[in-house]
Amino acid sequence: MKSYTFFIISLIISSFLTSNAYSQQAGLIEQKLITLQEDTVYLSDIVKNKSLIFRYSVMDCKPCIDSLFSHIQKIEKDIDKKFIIFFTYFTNFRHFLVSARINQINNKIYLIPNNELAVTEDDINMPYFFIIDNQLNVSDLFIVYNLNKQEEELDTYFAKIKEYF
Amino acid sequence: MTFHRILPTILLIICTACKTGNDASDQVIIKYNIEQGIKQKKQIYLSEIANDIGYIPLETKKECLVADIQNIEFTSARILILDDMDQIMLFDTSGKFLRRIGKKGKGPDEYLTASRVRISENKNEIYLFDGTKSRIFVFNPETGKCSRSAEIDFFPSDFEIFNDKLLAFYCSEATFPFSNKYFHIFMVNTNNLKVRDSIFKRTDLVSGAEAVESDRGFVHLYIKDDKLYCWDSNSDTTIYVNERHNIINSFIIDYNKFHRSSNITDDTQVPEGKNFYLDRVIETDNYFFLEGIYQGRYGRFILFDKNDKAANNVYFNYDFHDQGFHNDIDGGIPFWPKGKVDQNKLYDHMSPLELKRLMNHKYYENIPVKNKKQNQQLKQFLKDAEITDNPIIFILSLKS
Repeated sequence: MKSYTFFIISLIISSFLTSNAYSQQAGLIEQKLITLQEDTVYLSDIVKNKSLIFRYSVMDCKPCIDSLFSHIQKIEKDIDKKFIIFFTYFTNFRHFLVSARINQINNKIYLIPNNELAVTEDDINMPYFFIIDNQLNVSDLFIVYNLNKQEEELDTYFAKIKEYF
Repeated sequence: MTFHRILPTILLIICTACKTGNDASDQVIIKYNIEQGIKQKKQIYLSEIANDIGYIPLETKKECLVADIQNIEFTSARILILDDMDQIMLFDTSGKFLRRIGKKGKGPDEYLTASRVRISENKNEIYLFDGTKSRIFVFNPETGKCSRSAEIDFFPSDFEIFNDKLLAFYCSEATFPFSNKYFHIFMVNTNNLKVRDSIFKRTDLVSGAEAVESDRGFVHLYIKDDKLYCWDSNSDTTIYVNERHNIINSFIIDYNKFHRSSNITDDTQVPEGKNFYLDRVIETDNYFFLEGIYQGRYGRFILFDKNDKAANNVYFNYDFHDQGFHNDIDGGIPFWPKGKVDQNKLYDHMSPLELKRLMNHKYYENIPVKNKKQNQQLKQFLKDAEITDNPIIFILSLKS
């Protein structure tokens, strides 16, 4: 029962975080990521330009992930694919690979060992977007907390961030 | 005594019988002390409980990549897979991919979340509960298409097909934030998907029942001898529902001092300490296979033998895989069931590459094996295993 309570509290927290649709964040620290080829790369090596990050985990709300994936396909006409990076977490490397194939992500997807990106929002079990620059500064963090209003909110969010690209 | 004086007494007796739903003549309680099963470590050979183990490699193709398996259902000719990406796929019993079942989406015949699937061999239908849409979907296994669906106003933790005419949905205490209908079993007609009956499983009506404070929220409904069984990790007593829809006690797990203490509040962490947290119970004719967490570790396995009442902590004493039955049948990896195929068969699954990695361990070089031919065939099959290959399902046939 406590897991549900935790989920509800998470939703409340996320509603505060997204009361202006997105919040500002400090920078990320350097860390190792795993590629689809099972190679280890550093965060700073893959973020050469300002990029849109889609962060999701196997622990997150599944309908939320599906919904955001379908929205990413829509925005690919406005933002070049090379500026969209996926950070994810799976307990098993095979599931990471299979998930990437099923969602037709061929590159720019990285596994975060231990599911720790050092962003506060990692604790709330919801997928989210943010912008990162080559100094690893984070901005424009966005969490969908209301599935019913998400289309409208995502449209507003992407209308703003596409100006960066 | 006049009739109007007797009538309330008769009604009271009838009502009491209906409300408690207890049927003393049916009651066969097995009381199981978990302490013995925790303390008594024993390496058990698979040949002690089973005759045979078989392998079904699921076909790997672009259109049927299976992610992390959540649920497998079997009929005599088919295998139904639900994975953690909510994909529902049908294979035949040789592992050949047949078709996808249903479609994800927001449309009327589409589902958002596949919380649980079941397949009925007799009715030739697949049932899905979608927890996001609060809807039951019925699919035709021959086409994969939705034939009908209906909204429900309760939030079940699990459901099972009961006598082909009903779908039994159990709402555990874990559903409390979403519904006040917890501890109810709702019987839904498989044809029109309307609620036909609801049974209230109040713990104080179940003799010997005690809340375990596990709050891990695991629930499992299963059919055995045409009865519907309901195991709930929040209670120490497993019940069954008979054909008259009465609730009868089946077995009680005596947690004794291994109860969860109430000072543990964060259930997102693996609990440390001396308490045993039961996550899965599989019941066959002769055994209970109990799986839980103990001393901060997942995968603590206990085998309870119904015949001699012996309980053992199934221990595989080797560094790379320390739990499960020692596989002396064909030299495969240690076995522990993830579920039941039927009353006499159990299943587990693993990705071929992971299986190959484990079987290449030096432990397997000199172990005695009864079926060497199968061992060679398995190794030959695994030779070219790749990481994205679909899982292999292991089927264990128990001794009757």
